[in-house]
Amino acid sequence: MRVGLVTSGILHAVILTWGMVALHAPDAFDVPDVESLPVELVTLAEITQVQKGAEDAKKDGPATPVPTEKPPVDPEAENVGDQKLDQQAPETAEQKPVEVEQAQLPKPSEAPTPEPAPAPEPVEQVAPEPQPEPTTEVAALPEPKQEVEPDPVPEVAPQPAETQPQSRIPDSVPLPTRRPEPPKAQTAKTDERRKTEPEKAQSAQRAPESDSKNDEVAALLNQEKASGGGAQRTTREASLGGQRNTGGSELTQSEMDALRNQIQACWNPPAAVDASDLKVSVRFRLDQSGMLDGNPQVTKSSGNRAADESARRAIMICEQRNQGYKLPAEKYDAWRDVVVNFDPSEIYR
Amino acid sequence: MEQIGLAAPGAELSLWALFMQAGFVVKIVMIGLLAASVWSWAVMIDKTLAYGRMRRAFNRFEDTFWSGQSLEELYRSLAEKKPTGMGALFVAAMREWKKSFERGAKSPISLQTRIDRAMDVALSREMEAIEGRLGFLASVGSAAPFIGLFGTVVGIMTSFQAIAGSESTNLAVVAPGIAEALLATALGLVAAIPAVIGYNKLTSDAAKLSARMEGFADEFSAILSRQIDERSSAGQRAQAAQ
Repeated sequence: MRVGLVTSGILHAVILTWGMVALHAPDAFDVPDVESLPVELVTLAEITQVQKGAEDAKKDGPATPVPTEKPPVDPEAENVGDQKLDQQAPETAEQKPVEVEQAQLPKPSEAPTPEPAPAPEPVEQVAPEPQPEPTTEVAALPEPKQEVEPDPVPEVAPQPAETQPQSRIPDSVPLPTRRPEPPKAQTAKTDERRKTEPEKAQSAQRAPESDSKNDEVAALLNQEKASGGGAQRTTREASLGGQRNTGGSELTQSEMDALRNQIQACWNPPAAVDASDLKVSVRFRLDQSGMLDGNPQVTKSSGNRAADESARRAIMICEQRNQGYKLPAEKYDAWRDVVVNFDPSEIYR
Repeated sequence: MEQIGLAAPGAELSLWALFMQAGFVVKIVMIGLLAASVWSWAVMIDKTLAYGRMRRAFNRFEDTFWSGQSLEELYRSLAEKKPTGMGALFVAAMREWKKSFERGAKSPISLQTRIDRAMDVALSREMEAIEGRLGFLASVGSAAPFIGLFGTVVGIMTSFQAIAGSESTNLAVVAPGIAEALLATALGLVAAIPAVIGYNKLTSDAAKLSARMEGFADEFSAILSRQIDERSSAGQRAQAAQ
């Protein structure tokens, strides 16, 4: 037994000694210093819905569009609008192209023609002058003849005398004191009006009490010009946007897909033989909570009544099942009025 | 609560450093496992040598036994030097035989039984010597992993307490304590694996030796039985002749 014990002890001692010499601390893992990479999640909307910005803007600024060039003129304005000055006119939704018959601007040479009383004027002008003139002129030229024929002179003299009473007659007619201006061209924006309007308004500001009625009248008359909304105006610095301006209120591709999926889940496509040809377009309006506003209407029928009805029903069922369509509320403008094309060929393919 | 100081990050992770960093309980477990390993290797070496010796002794004894030598002479030569193995069986049987005949035992049947009993006793005594200490190997093989695991659990417990105290979960702070605790399990396995292998090997060797001795005992018993029959029939013939 002693042999075994000694041998075993020596064996262990040797192995342990070797282990202590050979098995020292393992080399530390050589981990290269990797900087944490910033990962940014880019949504499709950032590409499809860029806003036009300024190229020299800061990169980390908030997303703001290019500010409009004209700054707000009147900081104390009460009414929102695009006008330079505060006006009473209510906003009009959209500017209709106004068909205006543009009056031909009269040439200066033609100016006298539309005078209200052209007839008396030449008479008046002629009347005082010819009285002495013809006599003198006629008398001067045929002076040598005058000696020969003295008769016509007295004849000529009574002629202007006859004309003078003619000129006296239109005295009762009201005489124009100044030359009337040609009628203004009734365009929406003429340069003249642009210039005159602020002048008028400024004068109105100087004497507001006296001209307040006039301003109201002017505001009422001013409705023909679109003045809708001051939304494009901002005092903030422009952000670094894209080259194009897409508005920012359109549905992105992914949001459209989401809407499509919502409707597709509710759609029971028509089971007809030629079902793949039954394409239906349905138009419907939504309110802000995503509920239907009125009944959906088939705008482009497939010709098959069942197919049309299934498309309409899909939209109504979907609204009820989902408690209204789930769409981004801030883009209500984009989905207020929706047209959906139902195409069974994509399903039956 | 006892706070175990954690090794600073990047500390020495060699065997000795790990051992010295370990807590009190873990150190005791490690030392115990090391001792068990030393002892089990000692047993294995000792048994292997002993079985080899025994096998050679059996071969030599069988050669001399079957060489046609007189059993009386063999007995006389063996009885003086305390024999082991087959020799012990032979001596035990021969001693019983001689005692019976010297005192003039009459019943051959009871003589046979007595010889068998004597050989059984000698066999079991020899087997005890052969299989002794193999049980220790079995114990180490089965218990050492658990003991090592116990050391690891205690070590990890204390190191977690120390982590809570240091208020840092940095892996460089946590790792040395766990590595040091795991060393206990490693030691347990180092002790257990050779013990299990050695136990299986030595048990089968012991079984072979045992079978060989039993075979010899049966053969020798048969020989003695034949002798008894011959002698008793010769005695009966002599009595009948008188």
